Amino acid sequence: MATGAARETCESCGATLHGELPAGFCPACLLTTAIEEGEPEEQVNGSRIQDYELLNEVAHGGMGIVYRARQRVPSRIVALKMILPANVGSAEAMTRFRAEAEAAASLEHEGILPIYAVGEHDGAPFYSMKFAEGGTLSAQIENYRDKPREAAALVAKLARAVAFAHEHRILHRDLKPGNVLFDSDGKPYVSDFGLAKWLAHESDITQTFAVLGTPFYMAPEQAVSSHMVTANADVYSLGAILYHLLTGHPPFIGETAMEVLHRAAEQPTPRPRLTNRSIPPDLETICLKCLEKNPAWRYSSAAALADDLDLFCAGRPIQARRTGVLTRGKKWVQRNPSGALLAASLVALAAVVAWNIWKSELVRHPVTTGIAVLPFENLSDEKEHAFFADGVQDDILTKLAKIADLKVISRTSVMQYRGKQNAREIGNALRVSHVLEGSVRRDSARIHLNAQLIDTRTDTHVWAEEYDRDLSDMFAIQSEIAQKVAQQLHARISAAEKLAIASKPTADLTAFDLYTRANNLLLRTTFNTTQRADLLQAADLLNQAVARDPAFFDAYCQLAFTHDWLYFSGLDHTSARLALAEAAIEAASRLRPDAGETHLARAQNFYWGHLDYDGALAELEAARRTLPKDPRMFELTAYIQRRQGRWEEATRNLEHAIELDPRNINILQETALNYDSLRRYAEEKSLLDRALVLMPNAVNTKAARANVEGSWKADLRPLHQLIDSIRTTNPAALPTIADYRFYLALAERDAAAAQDALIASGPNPVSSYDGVQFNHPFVEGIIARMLKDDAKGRSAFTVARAEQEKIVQAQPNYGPALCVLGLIDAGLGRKEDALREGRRAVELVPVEKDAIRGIAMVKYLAMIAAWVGDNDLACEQLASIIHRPSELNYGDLKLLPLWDPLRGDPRFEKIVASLAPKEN
Amino acid sequence: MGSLCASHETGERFEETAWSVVIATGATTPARAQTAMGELCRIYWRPIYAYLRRSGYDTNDAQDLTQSFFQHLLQNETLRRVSRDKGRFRSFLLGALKRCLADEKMQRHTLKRGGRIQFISTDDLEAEELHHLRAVHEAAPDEILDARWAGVVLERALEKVRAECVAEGKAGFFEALSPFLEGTKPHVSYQEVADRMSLGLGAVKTLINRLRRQFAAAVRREVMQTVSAPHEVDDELRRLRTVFARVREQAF
Repeated sequence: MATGAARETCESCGATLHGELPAGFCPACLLTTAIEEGEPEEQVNGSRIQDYELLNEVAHGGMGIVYRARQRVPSRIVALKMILPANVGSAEAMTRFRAEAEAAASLEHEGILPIYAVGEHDGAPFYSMKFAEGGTLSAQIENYRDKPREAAALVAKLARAVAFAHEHRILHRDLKPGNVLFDSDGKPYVSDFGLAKWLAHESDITQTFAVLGTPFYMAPEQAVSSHMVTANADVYSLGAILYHLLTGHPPFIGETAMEVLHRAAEQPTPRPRLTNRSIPPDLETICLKCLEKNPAWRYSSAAALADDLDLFCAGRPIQARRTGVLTRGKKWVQRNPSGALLAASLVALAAVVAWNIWKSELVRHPVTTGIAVLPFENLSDEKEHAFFADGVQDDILTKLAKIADLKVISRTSVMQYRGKQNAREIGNALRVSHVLEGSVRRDSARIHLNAQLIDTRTDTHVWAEEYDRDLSDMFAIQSEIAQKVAQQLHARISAAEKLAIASKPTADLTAFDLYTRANNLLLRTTFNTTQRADLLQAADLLNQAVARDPAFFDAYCQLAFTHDWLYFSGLDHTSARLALAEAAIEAASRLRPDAGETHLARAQNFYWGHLDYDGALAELEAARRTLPKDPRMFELTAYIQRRQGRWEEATRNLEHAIELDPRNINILQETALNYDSLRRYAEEKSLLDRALVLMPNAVNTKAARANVEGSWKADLRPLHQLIDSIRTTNPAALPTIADYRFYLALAERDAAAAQDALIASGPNPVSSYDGVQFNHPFVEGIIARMLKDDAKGRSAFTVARAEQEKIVQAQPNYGPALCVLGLIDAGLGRKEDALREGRRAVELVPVEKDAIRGIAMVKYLAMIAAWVGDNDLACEQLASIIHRPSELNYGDLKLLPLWDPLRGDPRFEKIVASLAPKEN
Repeated sequence: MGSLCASHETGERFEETAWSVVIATGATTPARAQTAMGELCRIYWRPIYAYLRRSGYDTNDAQDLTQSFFQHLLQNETLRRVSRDKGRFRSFLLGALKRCLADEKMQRHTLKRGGRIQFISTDDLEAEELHHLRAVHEAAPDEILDARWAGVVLERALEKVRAECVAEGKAGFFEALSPFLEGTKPHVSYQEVADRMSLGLGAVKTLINRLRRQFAAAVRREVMQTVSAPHEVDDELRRLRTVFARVREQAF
């Protein structure tokens, strides 16, 4: 075979070769070889691994997969645990794994699940073991709740097995109900010895937890380092298992590994008898002794634990003694050096912030009934069907949301769980009792859908169904699912709601696909900077959808939303855009004039398009009748209310919205703004922290958080430190916080830094949230003034004026543009013009009409007045707004050079002092 | 106690490969993370680069974006949050790349920087450019990525098998017999090869079968490193194969 010439076609399969591989190899043929020659006796259905035929998957966890398999020789059913290659990093890891597995395999004890063989397949290690037909203890843990003796007997057996392993110098390190298995006779076995140690060797702690799962049964010292782990760690775990059997839950719970371990290390163990008075006191004593935070105070060995449990079962007095409740915690802190080390490590390792948030959250809000419909997995092959699964999920979610009696989490908050599996964690995070998940496959004519309803509190399936139908039945299937789910959750459905659920959004599947894609784009705009492009594309897709189906009501509603948002956000603040929104509403209204969604769309238009608050609120009231729990309603109502100055009510409505859409960054940030304007800074910090838990790398949010100290106490250090750290660790992110950099530079009177910030912000104007934007020449003028370079300031302002004038001419009644012109004129010494423009801006946006922008206009008038030397006017204006919620804060007034002309004036100083933080 | 059976091949060296490297990038020491990232880039830059070129970026921008993409992955801790229960590395990379490209800011920042990627030799780059030029015009960027991905996997497997042969002192065999990795050749008979190698026909057939199995095992090990469950290996292989079928169809 010629090696030099490039072949054009493959001689065997006829494929055209494009030089993918050297020496003219044909990739298709090579792949065929790989498929066909994979294993001897390769079967088309099922899979074989060496001597084993894989029958079905039993469990799939972070570390690996467990299959039920049939061994050929000897012929028997076994469990095959395959470690994911992900966790085998290197040759040494592989060697170490074999060593651990072989050591574990050498343990022969009636309570230890026997390992038959250790091997490796396609690079992934595995071992085969006895198949336990009785399943895991996790599945049966509820059965022991009122049977303390049985629980004790079970744990005694487990302890004996563990003790045996300890005698052979093998620790388990990851004892939990998932590792306790039963055979068909109900005999218990402990499995997976040594795996945790092998894993811990490979990765750092956070990864280990990611693989092993939330460590509800893990001794706190295990988190510190492997060196500190002794046999007593296994004793702790046995105690935690006993605790769970007796009370129905592990001793310490939490959202994250860090949280659980932190509690386990710091908090006294809640006494089991507080949960369940029927637990015998001696058994409680045994249990708590295992759970002592100081390993030295636990049972000295698993055998000692087993002995005491046996004594208890026999009705004889036990060895362990009860300690007083109050002294327990203190003793540990004083005498246990590992404890202090643990605390320090946890602080170093964990996000302490996250801990504080969820501590307060979890205590206040238990999981309520309700459901989250998670993104469905898309199993379709064709690229054109990529959004099909999302469409199915969206439709089911929408239908469920029509039921007033059901709490349904908004789509924004669930989309972030795409691909995630832990129902219990999701349930806790979203505070719902159930999740619905599933998978969808479609081809050209049929749809195959799998759906499961899971109770998050127990992590069990409540209902599952498979559908294999004609594609045209798609919406009918979704209605069925919605009905079934509502039934399972015992939600009352009214006749009108039944009708709504049974309806089809559209008969045209292509239109529905376009709609789904648009929806996905619209989701993204809540926390993404490509807003404009996304919104325009969404509009385009929706237009195509309604072109195909002029009766597609939902698409018109989304179209209205898209246009109105483009208008209001300033991305396209033109009357043409507004007209498009109104046309879409007209179309929707012709189709369904009384629908809640129509009223909601109108409300959005009245508010965003016309600032007609009363009109909007009336429409919202009408919408509430049929969409009582739609978070958008609460959101919109809140935004209107705060523009009306009804801040407290607005805050309450936002809190409702958060409950229904807990992971919606946008809502969290808006609520944080609320708190900022209300000067409730502690609450603002807490909310921003919460947003950061959801999006730890959101630089903008981090900056907002750091800035709270600046606004509240005129303390710039946190913001300064944050910006420095971003500069060194993530300089690519600097442009996103140019506004904050600029503010900091001004407040620190660092002209060079201000200049840098200006350059970094690129072509974007510098802006604050009240809608006022400063163009670049204006900012340069400000910087020049700071440097006392009057000539430069003047020329910069002149340039700025020309630019700003154009903007004002294009939008002559837009206050925020006019007030900037006024400020520029003030900088140029044109006193009359400046004051006139400032006053006009205030007139254009009366505070009664828009509490947020209105007050901002007054603030800028005050600034204009200060710049032209009219201190009386300036102080009078400031005094009139200072006690109302607004963006005006202590830090700004105290530090920004923009207010310098007023410094020293006793009235101004008094105003500043009135905003100073109170000592508390 | 059941006997412990050894695996059917022995002493395989495991290099740091895709997923395990991904995990390593979540490791605490920055040094190790950087090494891992370098490794990822070294292995998988081609499909990313090919995708970008097909998407319309010129060669300089494509280089910049490729480098930025991998850096972005590392910095944003996307890798740390990868769900190892589901998903193939290939799909994950494609998804991450699309998200990255949609992020205008990343693009703007990247394109300002200029400069060549440090870890790729000019020869390799030129070779990749050649691929780009000869690729089917109608193929979509996704398909190009898949095709180049398959190319990387197969090349690595071929190289591994070649190295194994060399280590056993059988370099010549690999050269002579590797064409048969694709299956029977219409124009070359086993007898001809046997004659050329001064071996019996039976011996040649045995050698070829062994080489094919060796190759298949090497390919499967490569793919295993990028999927999340053993039974996905076949699936992934079949899927990659269909890419070439599609790409082929579009040429007509």
